[in-house]
Amino acid sequence: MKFAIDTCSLIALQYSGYLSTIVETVDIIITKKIHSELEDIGIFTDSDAAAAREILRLLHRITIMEVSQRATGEEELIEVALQKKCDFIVSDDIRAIPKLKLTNISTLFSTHLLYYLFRAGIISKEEGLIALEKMRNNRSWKENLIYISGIQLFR
Amino acid sequence: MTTQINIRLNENLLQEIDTLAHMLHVPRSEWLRMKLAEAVKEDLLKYREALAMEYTMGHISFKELQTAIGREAEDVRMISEITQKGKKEINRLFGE
Repeated sequence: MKFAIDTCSLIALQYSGYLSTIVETVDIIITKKIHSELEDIGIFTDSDAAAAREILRLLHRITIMEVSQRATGEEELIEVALQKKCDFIVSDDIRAIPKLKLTNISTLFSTHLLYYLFRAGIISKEEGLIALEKMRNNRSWKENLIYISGIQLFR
Repeated sequence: MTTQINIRLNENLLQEIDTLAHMLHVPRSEWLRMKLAEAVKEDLLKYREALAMEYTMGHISFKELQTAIGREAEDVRMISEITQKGKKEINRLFGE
């Protein structure tokens, strides 16, 4: 399974504590721009920066693709997903969703990757729900809607 | 449009309300309307996550959610739909 994934989803999954498991289980593909964004975020001292630095340590398990520069990060993500024939695009960026939905590739949230681990028998329902709770920390209320809705995945 | 409602209040509470309204030079009903509106807005902000959860669980309707949180209800609906659609697609990967 190939997943093209954006920066905010990677950070959310790092908060969940299962990103390292995910990169060992499925193929994760990011753009060069996302790699640069993680490096830029990692300079700071807040929790997002710490998460970004941890993600950068997992890069040996993540495919980074360079594509022709586009106006937005989501356009580059779509390009990567099409070129690498990804099964899914993963984005927690609510504003980007309408554009991502225009492609033929299914759009998922980061929470779906936790559900994937659950269905694959790698984590339990309880572990999935605890991971969702960890993802809720440090996020805005709008972003939290994804994690609130994610509870339904495990019901 | 307004609707008249009748509520019974404790005598002491009513005296306190009248004292405050008198001090602020506003009619009792106006002071009550203002305070009620403030409390409702505060609670809607405080419980918007809970309201979203109630909607995703099917306990409240989209109309109720929209009344409570306004345009942001559209985002809640979109997120809920993508969550359910994505769940089905992952289930398919596992042969369902």
